[in-house]
Amino acid sequence: MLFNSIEYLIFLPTVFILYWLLNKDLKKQNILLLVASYFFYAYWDWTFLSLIIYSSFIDYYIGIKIYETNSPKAKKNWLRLSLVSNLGLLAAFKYFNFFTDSFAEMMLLFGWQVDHVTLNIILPVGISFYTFQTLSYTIDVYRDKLKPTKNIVAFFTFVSLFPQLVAGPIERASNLLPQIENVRKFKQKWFHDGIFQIAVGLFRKVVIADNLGVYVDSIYASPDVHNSSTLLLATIFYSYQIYFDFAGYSDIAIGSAKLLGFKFNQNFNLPYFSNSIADIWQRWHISLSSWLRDYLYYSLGGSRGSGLFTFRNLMLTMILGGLWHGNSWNFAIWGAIHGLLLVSEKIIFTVLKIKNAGWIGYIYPFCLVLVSWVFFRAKDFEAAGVIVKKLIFFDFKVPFIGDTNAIATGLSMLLIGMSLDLYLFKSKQDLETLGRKLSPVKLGAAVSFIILLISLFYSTSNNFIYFQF
Amino acid sequence: MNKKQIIQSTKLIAFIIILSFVVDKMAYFTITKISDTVYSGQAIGKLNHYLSIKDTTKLIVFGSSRANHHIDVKKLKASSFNMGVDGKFIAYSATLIKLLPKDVKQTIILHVDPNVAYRAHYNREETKTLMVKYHTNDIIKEELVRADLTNPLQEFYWCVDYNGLALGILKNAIFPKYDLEHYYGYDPMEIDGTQKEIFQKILERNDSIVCQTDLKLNPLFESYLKEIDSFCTNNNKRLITITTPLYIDKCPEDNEALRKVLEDLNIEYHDYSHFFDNRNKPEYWADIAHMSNIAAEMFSEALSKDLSIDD
Repeated sequence: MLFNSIEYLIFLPTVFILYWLLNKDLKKQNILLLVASYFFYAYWDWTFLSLIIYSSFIDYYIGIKIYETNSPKAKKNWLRLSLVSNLGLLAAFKYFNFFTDSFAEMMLLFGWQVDHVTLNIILPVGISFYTFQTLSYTIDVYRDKLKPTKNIVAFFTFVSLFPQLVAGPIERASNLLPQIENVRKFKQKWFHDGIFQIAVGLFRKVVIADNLGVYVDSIYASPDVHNSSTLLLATIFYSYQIYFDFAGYSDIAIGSAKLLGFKFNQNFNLPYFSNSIADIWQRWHISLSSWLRDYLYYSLGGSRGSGLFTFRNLMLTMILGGLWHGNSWNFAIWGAIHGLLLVSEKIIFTVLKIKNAGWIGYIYPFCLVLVSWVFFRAKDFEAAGVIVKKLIFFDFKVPFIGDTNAIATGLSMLLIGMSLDLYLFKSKQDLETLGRKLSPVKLGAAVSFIILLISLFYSTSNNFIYFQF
Repeated sequence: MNKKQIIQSTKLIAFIIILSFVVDKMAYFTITKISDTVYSGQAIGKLNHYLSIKDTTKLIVFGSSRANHHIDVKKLKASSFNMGVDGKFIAYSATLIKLLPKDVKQTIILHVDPNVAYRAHYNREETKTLMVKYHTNDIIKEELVRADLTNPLQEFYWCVDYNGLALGILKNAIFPKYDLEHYYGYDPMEIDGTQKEIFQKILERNDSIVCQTDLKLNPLFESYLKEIDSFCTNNNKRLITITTPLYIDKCPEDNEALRKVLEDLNIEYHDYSHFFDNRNKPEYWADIAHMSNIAAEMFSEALSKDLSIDD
């Protein structure tokens, strides 16, 4: 079920009412959440529910086993089993064709023609998200940071809780599980926050991102026929499209969770107001970047070694983080570019003995990240190459505009979206807590205005960009 | 959740619903008032223009951008209007044709594209721009409901009618682009440098096209075609269907198939896909499917001679 669908507009209030009617019985409330979450997922494809149940069961069981076992070796073996099970699922459903294709292409480089098998595999929505979520639970139990739960309903709800099931935020068990296991109380200010954030999230997604996407899709479909200015414009639009698409999704997820009395962690914190590349990664898809830091970068040794060792770990983390997004070398290159940028920035800052680049720091990260988005968006490596080449050898011609109405709508809505972000940045406020600061009349007026903007300017897109990951 | 919280939350939700409804209606009636004065722009202006001249004009061309950019209707008849619009196909044309007066003698030239006729999927999405008349025109409303293009929230939030069009309406209200006295719907394409360059690159790329072998007339296309034919037959209209030239038609089979369909239905059809075959030049084209103003004028002259439209 999509957050921006009529179905969700019916689903969320229905769950909300039933859920708070049951607020005297935590167990029934959690069962309702579990059933609702499975329904939410099954509405897309019920067959893949079995994967979520499988993944939940494996980690529920292994978590207990790790905790009950005293032998470090046995603990490690249980952890390995969890890693193999979860990553095996990912490998089978997400990377099988990528591995076989890449292997065959590599062999071809050596002159060997290899017959390889590719499977017609549908990527189960949300698999990358819930796999990382369950993995973090098992790793935290292994690291003695978390006591496993024996409440199977609570654990299964933790894995499948519908606001974050298909595209995050990737919630840690240490944050979410205690909230599921303990009585939730309805808080009026959270209700205000939730309503406001859902409205803003919808606006960001269906108005800003989807309108920008119209231009981006048309240009990126045939990059070879467009000039440098057009490609630059499309890439700038894409950088905002993906931000508002995913931030919008996260807003709706966090807002929906708040209506049910859950507090998710912030997933986006105005990333385009970052003053360094490292800062971007503190603000962009925070739940993933912190996951990669805690469970991959630190596991590789982090910065506990020589500079070269740290840089290797950074590069590996970013490349694997890139590949997490999709089974294409373009994502690996995107990750590698970010890895290189992080390493270079670290070296430059160390040599110059500075912590940031002052006002230049508000400009260069966006410009560099812009180039990396080309690899993220282009349909293949060849197309990305064409675009990057045209951006480097810039021809300074008039950009192709196409549908002026669509461009004008996209730009004006982007301006409104960025103005809100600028206001949040200047006033040092979070969108997550803005709703409570508005009186009911102001909140009602703001939401009504947002509804009007959505009615007048929504654009239709099949999906959220991050669903494909 | 205690009683106080239930009351507060219900109040807030009720307030949002009522206020958003009121704001929506205020915006809707304001935009409608502005929109009705707009006569420029392809989406709304041209529609308003059409609605104002449809009862008194003798010849009207319907179809997509290929009708719009290719047919200079004044070369065919003095009392004429070109209602071709970018990206509009048979469902859009059929809806507009059904708005014509029932007992007035008129000639209808309908541009039919074999490529659309034999599409496996045709969702009538293009009729969405007629949504601006959803709450004011029953025929349009009926067609939009039939095409399953309406939004369930639209009955409550009427501004959805203007989705994606509000800025264009405002722009066209403030900066009207056309000279209404002389504009008759034909928009010749003057080719600029960027367009020329893009077309040149497309030609160099020489994309291969896989032609359909199992040609099946799209049932929706067929249904709308029959409805148009029936409306014209019963309401004193002459229906002429045409296909305008293409830079290159790599799949002539669908043209032939469509010709047979139209013959069986006893509908007059003229296929000009190969009009420039022996004298074609890249400068006649904006892209593969759209002629430049120079070529459109040449074509319109020829069309005028072919169709023998009586006064």
